[in-house]
Amino acid sequence: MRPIFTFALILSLFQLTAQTIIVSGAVKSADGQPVIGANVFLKDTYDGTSTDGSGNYSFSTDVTGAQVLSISCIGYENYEQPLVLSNENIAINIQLKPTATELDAVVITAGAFEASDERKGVVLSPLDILTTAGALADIAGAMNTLPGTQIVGEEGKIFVRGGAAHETKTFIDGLNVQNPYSSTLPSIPARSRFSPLLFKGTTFSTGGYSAEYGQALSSALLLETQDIAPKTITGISLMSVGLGLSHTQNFGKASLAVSTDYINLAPYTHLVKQNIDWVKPFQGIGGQVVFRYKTSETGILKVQASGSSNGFLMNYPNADNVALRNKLSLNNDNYFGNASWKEIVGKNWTLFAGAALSQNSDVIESNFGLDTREVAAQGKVTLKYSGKDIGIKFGAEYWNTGFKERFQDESGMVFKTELNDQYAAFFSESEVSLSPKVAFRAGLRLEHSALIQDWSLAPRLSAAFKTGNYSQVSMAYGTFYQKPENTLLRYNTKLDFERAAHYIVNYQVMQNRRTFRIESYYKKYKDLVQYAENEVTHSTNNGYGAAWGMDVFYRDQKSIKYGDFWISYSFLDTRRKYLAFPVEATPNFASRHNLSVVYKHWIQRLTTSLGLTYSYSSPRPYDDPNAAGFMTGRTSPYNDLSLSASYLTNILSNFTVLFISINNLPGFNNTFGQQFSNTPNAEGDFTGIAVRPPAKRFFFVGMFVSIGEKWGTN
Amino acid sequence: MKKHFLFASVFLVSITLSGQNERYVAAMEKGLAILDTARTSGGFLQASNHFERIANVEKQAWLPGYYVSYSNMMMATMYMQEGKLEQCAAHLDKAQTFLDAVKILAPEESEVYTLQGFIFQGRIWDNPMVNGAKYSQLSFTTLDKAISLNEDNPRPYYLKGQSLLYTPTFYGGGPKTAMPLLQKADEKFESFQALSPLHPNWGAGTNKWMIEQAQKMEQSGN
Repeated sequence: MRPIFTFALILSLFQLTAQTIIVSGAVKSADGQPVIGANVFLKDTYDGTSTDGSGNYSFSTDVTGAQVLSISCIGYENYEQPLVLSNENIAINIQLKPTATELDAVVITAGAFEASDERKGVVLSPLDILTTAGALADIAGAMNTLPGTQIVGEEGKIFVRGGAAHETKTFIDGLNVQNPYSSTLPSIPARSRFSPLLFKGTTFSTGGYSAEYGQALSSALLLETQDIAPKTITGISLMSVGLGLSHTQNFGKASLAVSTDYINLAPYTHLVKQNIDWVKPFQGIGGQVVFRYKTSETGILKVQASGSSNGFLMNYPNADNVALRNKLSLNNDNYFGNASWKEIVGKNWTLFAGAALSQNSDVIESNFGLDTREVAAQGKVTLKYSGKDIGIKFGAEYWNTGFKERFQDESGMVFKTELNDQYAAFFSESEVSLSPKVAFRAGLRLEHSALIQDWSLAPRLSAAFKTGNYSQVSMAYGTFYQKPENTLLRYNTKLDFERAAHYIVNYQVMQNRRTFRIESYYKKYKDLVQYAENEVTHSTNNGYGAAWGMDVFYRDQKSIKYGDFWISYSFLDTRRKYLAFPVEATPNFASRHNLSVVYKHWIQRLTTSLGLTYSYSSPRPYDDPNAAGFMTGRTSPYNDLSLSASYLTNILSNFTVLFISINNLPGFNNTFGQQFSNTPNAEGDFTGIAVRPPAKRFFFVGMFVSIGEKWGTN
Repeated sequence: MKKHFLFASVFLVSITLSGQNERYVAAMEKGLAILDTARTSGGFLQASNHFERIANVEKQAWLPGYYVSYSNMMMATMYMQEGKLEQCAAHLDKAQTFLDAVKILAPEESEVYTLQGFIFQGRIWDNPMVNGAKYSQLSFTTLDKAISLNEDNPRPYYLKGQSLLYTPTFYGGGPKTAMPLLQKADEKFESFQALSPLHPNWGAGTNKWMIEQAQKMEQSGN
């Protein structure tokens, strides 16, 4: 009987499939709009169709029994619904949930400006940093066109929201950089040591940043280096200030780049009138090695090392004796190495391990002598879990730093300082998205410095809410600790961490290649180092201060064809009582109003990119010992209009860029206050010498040739 | 009786199997007909949805997923031309997702590498200044791999030529460098025999059009 039974079953199956019914309905989104072009089908069958212009669907099928109706459509979560089909037509209406894509999901933006090629929805791309006119491919210069920064022309460093330069720390691949700027002397602006070409991503946080980073009261500049170099290429740079050579070799799973450059400003300073009486203008040589290795499908090892040696000599005006000019020289040697490894270990887990070594030596010679040597070794490990709606990151880092100084005064007396510190930190942070519209981040950082024997526990909190399809509000709060500068610890290691609390609210709209941001903040400083009885040797942590302000940013890449511009405005109101301040006052590096307008235009016919940057900074205070009161002097307002042009062409079919740049084209007279004599003259006045930029304008011409494989050759 | 039953069931199973195969071929042919007549992004979406339904059932066949990927690539092309970059990126993502699955089924297939090279070209459009160098390189190496897997495949030559045609001359592109590749593709299209009517066989017409464009550009001195 059995075979007959089986036979009958097979036959009945055939019979079952013979019935044809119609499945129909409408597919709508959560807000009731029809979803057009959605794929509606019965799972594991060919039967299905696409929704029409009104979101309706209708298809016939001959399967019956328990089935699954499945819907897929770009922009929506996949949808599945079990159903039982008999021999009757069936109508089912469906509502789809939008997917939380990277672009649509809320991102915590309070305090942070991100430049990236890889992530969507960022404000800047790494190329924007490179091509900002006036910045001359200097990372700090480009960051100074973003809101939240105050331009301090004589320093060239990044000053954020009423904070001093050392309150901004630079991190490369998560590791702190001990000496991010070139060494300089007063009134000669510094430049970043690192070329923007090294980095694929930059996050500039002007406050409220993640618990992963510490020892910065105001700001963190996070730089993420490039992965494996995709092309084998040789580069030659000929510049008005020197030349450079580089070679990058791609080995498939690895790449190696070596480069060297030689800079000599002597020919240039002969051609262009200088405010500085140079004896030997800046001259330097540097080299760099960048190695990348793909350790697996998902792992990458990054190693970079660089070294540079440079110096200059000038005649420096002596405010105490105007007839006299002192020789003043600086020689700097800097070595930097950084290695990191990143790998996905198990589902959803990412491991990062990194180490960095650096050594910096500055030798200043004049009628006095100052030798400073800094060494730093550090290691860091982080483990990150990335789930669908939750992310957890925790890690530890350790810094071993040494600071040695030898100071010889005019009379030949020698003062020596040696400071060594072991700093350790642990952090943990989790980010939770309650929905595509709401995200929270909470972190905690525990730090300890052996030198000052102080512990700190810093909480960080932030949240973001989507207020519309393209707009969102973010908030951030955090406590930030920083060890006092070595120049203060030299006299007293019994000091504690200085601290700052940030409160930030941010609103952002990003739509159709236009971005508008407005951010308001309040920053409270506590435990700042203050001199007791006006003596640095008797310092305490009794100083304090506060800053509040408003930053506005608008970027538009849409309105002008081939044009792109951004406008940044920062308002800052800050006062503090610290160091030798007799009363609460606005420090010398804080200006009330800062404005930057950056414009870039691509001229297709000439294959030329033009850039224009205008920067304004309102007068900054400085202390004039001849005037009554404290900090009553005012610098001139700072104005700068810089122009640059890059012409893209080829030389013997090798890609070539011709670049020219002029800083301060109209020749604004910018002065940065005065430097006063230590002792009053016969009339009882302190002699002041105006602090000016090294030259009124700066011209730069360069030619960059890339010799590489030609596209498409096989 | 047992023998009869065995015979009957083998017969029935083979009918069912060949029925399945016929159904597959018919569905694929219908999909290719939709693809052939598609002129708008809506048309390619119909094709994509159709092939996606087949791909969901025929988990061992690489062609359905390949055509889902290809249809989305075509949609990305159209959105790019309309300046709708967000949609363009979404369809590039979908094309990549389906091609990733196809790669596992047909890891040594020249056509799969060809389509991958095409998707990489698509990534350039999103932001040529930023993505240009990286994805041009990736695209060319992938297309070279496609050629090494099947030298008779005209499509990688055509895609290389097309990409070079629209690469600025200062980057080493332009009609002069593109023309030899487009002409080589043209010759290969003439003699190309697809493995079956279901296998990829697109690009000959567009390649001819590219040759005309290249000639025009050369004459106007661009």
